[in-house]
Amino acid sequence: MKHIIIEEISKSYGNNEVLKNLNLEIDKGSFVTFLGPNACGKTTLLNIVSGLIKHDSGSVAINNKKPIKVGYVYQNSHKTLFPWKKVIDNIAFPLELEGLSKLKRYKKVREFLEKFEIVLPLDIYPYQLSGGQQRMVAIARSLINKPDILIMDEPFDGLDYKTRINTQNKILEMWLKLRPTILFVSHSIDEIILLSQKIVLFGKEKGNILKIIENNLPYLRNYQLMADKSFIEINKNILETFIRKEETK
Amino acid sequence: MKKNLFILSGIVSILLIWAILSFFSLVSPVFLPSPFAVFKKLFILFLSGNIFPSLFATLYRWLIGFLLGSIIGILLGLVIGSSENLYYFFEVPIDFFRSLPSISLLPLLVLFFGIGDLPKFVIIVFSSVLFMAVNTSYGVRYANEDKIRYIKTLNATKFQIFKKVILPEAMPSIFAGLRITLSIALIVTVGSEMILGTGQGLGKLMSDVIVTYKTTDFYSVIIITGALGYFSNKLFRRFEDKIIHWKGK
Repeated sequence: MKHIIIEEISKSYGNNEVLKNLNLEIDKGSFVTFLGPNACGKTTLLNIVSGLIKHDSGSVAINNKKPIKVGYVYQNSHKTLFPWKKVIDNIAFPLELEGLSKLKRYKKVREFLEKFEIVLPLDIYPYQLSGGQQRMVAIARSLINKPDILIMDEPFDGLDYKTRINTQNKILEMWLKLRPTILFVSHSIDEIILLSQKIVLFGKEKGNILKIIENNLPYLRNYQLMADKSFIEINKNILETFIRKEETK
Repeated sequence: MKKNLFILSGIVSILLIWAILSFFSLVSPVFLPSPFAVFKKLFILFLSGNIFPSLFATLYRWLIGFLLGSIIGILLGLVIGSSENLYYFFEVPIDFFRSLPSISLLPLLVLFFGIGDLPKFVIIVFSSVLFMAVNTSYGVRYANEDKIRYIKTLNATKFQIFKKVILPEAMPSIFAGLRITLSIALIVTVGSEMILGTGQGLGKLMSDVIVTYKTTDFYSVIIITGALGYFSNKLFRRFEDKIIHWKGK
């Protein structure tokens, strides 16, 4: 079932046209990644889907029971945590906005963390956590209210390799159990192949889509998969698409 | 430990220089009485209770004026900071009056309100409002954009955005403003008491004793006023550190 149907959307900032007549369909519960050069319109597209900004023309239809819930994990997600709230209250924040009592919120947070075996000190403030723990709080917060769509814009940027792999595994585990539609942006090709089902390759200008690659590698995936022939094949396909595009310029 | 040693050294050095100047009569005792005489006078002032009517009168004006001015200033700052147009509307008048030594308006206020307590209160409240409005509006205007963007993705209402993000984000700036305003309000209180010379108060006491060359009394009152400002600032900073624990983190 199609969850997000984007038809002919365009968006400009002043004279700078960022997206032009972009079309894309995304299945419900799928894990889709966007890969492309900087300033190619990926974040603008994510912001349009999340409702943060309005597109100039075209349409974005979200096939969903109203009201739609969107979770958003930013590149600097740790900066969006509230330092005046304890870790437990940060994770529970979307539930607070939904009007749940403190008792119910705390119960839900504890159940959620237990379900995914996430160990976090809940009674301290975010600034007392490590960078990796802060990201995990942001991710848990984005999923606590079971969003229909989870948007992740370079969420692992700046993390060390070990923390990055652990967080990737946790994201996959959460996605497989909760099944939100995930729109994910990263500049790491390995990460993208490891995580997603569908890879959308963007060109440099106006959000034109160069290619959509289906990634049928079986889940659960882990870093050992990187040596797999199919993994290498997808990697090659991605690189060739970008190189070919450069040569035809 | 090292810090305390330097703090103590600073105080001892000033007292030592003062004692040397006085002991060797390098400055006439009419202008600079000995520290011993001043501290003896200070002791007598408290023991006899003669200082209390003046001290309480100043405390009363200072704290009431500060509280009233701060409340009005915070409310004004919240409104100004929330709207770009209002900010520009108020920018020049506020900056103009803030640059003006507010005590210079006192003669004008006497014309309007007479020579009682009212002009003193008006000038204290007026100065407090200006500083608080500026600090509060800065806090509101420069609330973290990432956090605002995040809460918007949760379909938060304007009131929720204000209450849950903008207000807590502005708190460090509001508290910094309160601390500055507390000192400014004391300066204006004592200054207005000195200039108007009516009723009671530390400022009035200073102007009374200086005209009769009771410099020992004058220095004693100076020490009381300085201690009042210093300890109130210290106390407020402690309170601030406890409440705004996330400041700078």
